[in-house]
Amino acid sequence: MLKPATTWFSERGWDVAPFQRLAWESFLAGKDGLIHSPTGSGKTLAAIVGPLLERLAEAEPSEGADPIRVIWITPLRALASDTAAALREAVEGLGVPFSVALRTGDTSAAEKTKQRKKLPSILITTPESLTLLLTHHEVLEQFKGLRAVVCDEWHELLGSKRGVQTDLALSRLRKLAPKLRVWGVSATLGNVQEAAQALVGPDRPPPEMVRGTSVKTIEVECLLPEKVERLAWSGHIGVRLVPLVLERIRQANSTIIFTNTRAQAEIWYRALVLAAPDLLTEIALHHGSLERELRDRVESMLKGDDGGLRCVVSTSSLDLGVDFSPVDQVIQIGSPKGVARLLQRAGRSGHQPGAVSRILGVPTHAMEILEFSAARAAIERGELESRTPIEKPLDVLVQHLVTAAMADGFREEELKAEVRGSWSYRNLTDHEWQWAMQFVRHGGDALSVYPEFSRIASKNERYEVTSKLIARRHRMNIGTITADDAVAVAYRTGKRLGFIEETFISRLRPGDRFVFAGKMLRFKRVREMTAIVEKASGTRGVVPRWNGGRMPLSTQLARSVQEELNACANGDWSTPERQRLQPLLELQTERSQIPTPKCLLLEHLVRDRRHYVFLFPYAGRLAHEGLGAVLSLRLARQSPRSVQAVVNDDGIKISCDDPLEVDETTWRQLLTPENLLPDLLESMNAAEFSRRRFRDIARVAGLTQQGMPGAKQKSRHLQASSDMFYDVFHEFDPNNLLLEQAQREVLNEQLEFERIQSALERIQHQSMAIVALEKLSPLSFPLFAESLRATTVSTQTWEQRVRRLSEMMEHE
Amino acid sequence: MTVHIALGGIELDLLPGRVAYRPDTATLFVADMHLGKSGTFRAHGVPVPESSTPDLQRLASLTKKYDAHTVVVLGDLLHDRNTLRGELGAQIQKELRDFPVPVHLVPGNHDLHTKDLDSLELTIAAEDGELDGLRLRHEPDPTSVSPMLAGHIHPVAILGTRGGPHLRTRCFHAKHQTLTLPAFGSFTGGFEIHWNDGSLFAAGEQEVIPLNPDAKEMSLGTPQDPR
Repeated sequence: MLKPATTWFSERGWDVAPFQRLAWESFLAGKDGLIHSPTGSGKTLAAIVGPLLERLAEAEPSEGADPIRVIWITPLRALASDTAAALREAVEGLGVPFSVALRTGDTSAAEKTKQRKKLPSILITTPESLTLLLTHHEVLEQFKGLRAVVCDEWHELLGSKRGVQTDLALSRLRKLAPKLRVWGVSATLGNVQEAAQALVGPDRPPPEMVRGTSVKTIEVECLLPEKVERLAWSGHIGVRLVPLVLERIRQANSTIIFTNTRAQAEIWYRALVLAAPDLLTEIALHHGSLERELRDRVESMLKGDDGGLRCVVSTSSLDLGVDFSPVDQVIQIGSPKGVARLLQRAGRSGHQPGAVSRILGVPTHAMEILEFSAARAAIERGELESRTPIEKPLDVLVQHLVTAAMADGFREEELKAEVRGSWSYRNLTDHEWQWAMQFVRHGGDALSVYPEFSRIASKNERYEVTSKLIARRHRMNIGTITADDAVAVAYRTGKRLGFIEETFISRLRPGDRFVFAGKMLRFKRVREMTAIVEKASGTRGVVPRWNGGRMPLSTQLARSVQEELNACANGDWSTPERQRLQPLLELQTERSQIPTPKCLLLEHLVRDRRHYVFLFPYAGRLAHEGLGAVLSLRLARQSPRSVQAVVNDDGIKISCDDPLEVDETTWRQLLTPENLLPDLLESMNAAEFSRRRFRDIARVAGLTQQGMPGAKQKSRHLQASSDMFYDVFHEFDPNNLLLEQAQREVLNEQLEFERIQSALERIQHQSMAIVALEKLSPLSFPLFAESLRATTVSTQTWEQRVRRLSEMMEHE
Repeated sequence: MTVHIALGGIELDLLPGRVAYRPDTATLFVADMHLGKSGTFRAHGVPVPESSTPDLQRLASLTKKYDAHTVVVLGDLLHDRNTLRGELGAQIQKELRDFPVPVHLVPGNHDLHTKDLDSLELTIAAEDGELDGLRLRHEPDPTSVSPMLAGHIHPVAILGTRGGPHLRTRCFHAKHQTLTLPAFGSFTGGFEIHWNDGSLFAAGEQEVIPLNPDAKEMSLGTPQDPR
């Protein structure tokens, strides 16, 4: 049965890789599967050829293109057209009577209507567009003939609400189409087994695991500053390495520079073109807040149009998707943050089989030098991060109930079983199910029925959507991607540059300069959600910050950093990175000692009558934040005092104007995992965190409308912010489970509760070294110097907070 | 703490619960209740708990607490043109009929479109009128040369410094001769007033707090009568 494929491959001069053969055979044998490999190619053909061969084997005559057989789900619209080209090539190469078409948010309304009547044989779509399709009766009929769904870049969806949305859609499709097999294509993860099972739900046998061949060796190099000053680095190497980076750019034909945040991309782009004005037309900037048109141009230039580009500075917006030919070199600015992420970025270079993928790390902090060395070691050991699927988010369920009620309606018991057949909701309780049903039927739980409200109602034992208006509104709202309130940035002519968060713009005054889209701009005014700007000159301007840029060091990488430190503590200076850090770490030993996996280091110091304790648990910035708050609370409880915590990826600084205990017994007690949850909730201003989290939940649950950023708002009498919903729920319906969900998401995702817990459990087995510092040590110095972003443990009331904040503003 | 100010010689108390009180005439002022707003949302398939009648009851208890003889609503008592029709409308009518003191309404943009507005038991005042030397309007008139109370804007202040925590709070906003009241309704949004734009007073449930230097300068201290 594989014959047509092997023939086609040999005609093209390709070899069939063993993993491709395995994937095809498994599909034809009726199995689900997951194709995974860290980098490398051939995965698309591994996934699509099976369904094509199956059709060829049927040998049925065709009249025109076949009805729909395959759905190809892609997380990125930008990826869709490149995927379509690749799939068409395979379809034509094998001579299968299939049509291939896209359906994404970019597809025109007329085209969409036409498509619904007869879908293409292979449909390439996003999770959102797929869910939208499920609301149409005529589409459900056609889906009954589906043979395959392929989830491309599954690792990108897994672990997000979009993944949950996909889960639910897959469960629906499995029920509709008896011959359906679900396949995933993924980068390698720490939890591939779970990733595979999430594709097919709890009731199907484990999918076939197909490990792709890694065609490449990865080399991680760290660009080392000539000299690491032992203490003069208040953390920042900053853009001092620009000349060295420019040298590398000039040596290669093409370079991608990845940064961790959009602000960092703007800063580096400016620094590079200021240092090398001759490269101005050959360096481009790419990030998610730039106008689509600008990004498209950069992407097409990356593919070689308009003379191509020598270098692009980008955030994760170029991490996946955009299928440009490989570049000569990849540069990572700042901490790699995670092992899998670094691997994926490295994979952007040297695509030729057998070629070596190289990534050059550029540290912006001295300790980041060690992180690159740690990442290399973790890659060698094959330690990759996991992506954990989200457990039963109720906002997504509520949205799904309305979706399910739209096309043909549903019977409650049937849908409940179907929902539990998806991985995310396998443990959904009856109580949660009932609450979600009540929510869409009556608005609240049985006791607080909301008058005049209903989204779905039962008709002959089937639940259906109650009105056309609600149906229309729901279709506009489907999806789980939420954006912060964004203001468009445009010239007076109307030419748009992109989007910035409203809070940043609201702090600008007319005439202020800021850097955006790689340009120096002067702010004029805001008009209808658009910030009007003009070009400005000069080199100094503020750079906007976007929320969500603060990613912590992954557990795997943090552990590997500790191993690196351990090696250094044992005098093993065998890598160039360790060598460069040797003077600094020797100073650490001189003034204190090096923390190791077996020993928790606690340093303490009194300076200017303020008391400081530094701890190095290596649990990542977010977990440190939570831990710092818990420790401050526990200290403040022992005796009344105001305690502050400041964190980075290495450790925590606790400071106080009153003396702090520094004996092991006290700290053992402070570091107990007991009562962690209540203490965490009490110490972090949990309510404020939940309020922010509730924004996204309100949007997914259909409380607030998703408007296009910068678009004019319609129906003003239906405008309400999530804050308003949060307040009225709190006051009038405090048992609303969406509020509970907000708190759960804060704990799990924002504060990384489980990581805090396992850090505390690990500490139980560590010995403790308590060092009285005479002078600051290299590890404590950056924490000492960092004064922003302090968490003061607040058991403060609204009144106290208002007073404190207004005083701060006065003194600014 | 409550705040005591003088507006063009007329003394006013800014009180917890988002209301202003004029001691010499025992009048309580309130703005932008937007009754029926949550009902409008529900009718469009957005689940929101009911807050209109609790809001009216809250106003009634503030009236009693401060011993006011009259309540003046500075516009947008109602949210939607159809609010007074239907079950909820009947409840609102009943609450207003049972209200402990007379209510005057300076009609706002939302009220003017409401059907059956005259079925409510209240006095409809002029859109731009005067009461004992105070000019009363729904939309503030920034050029006003006489002391004026208004609503419409739903002023809020955003507190916090760059990089630090932020807090958004409804506020009273006084500038030149005009005092704009915070929105009273539970289910209402707000419009940010810039930190240096006139005097800002945070409107809390327990306290009213002068925020910026102008507001502190404007505060005459706590009223003598410890309400």
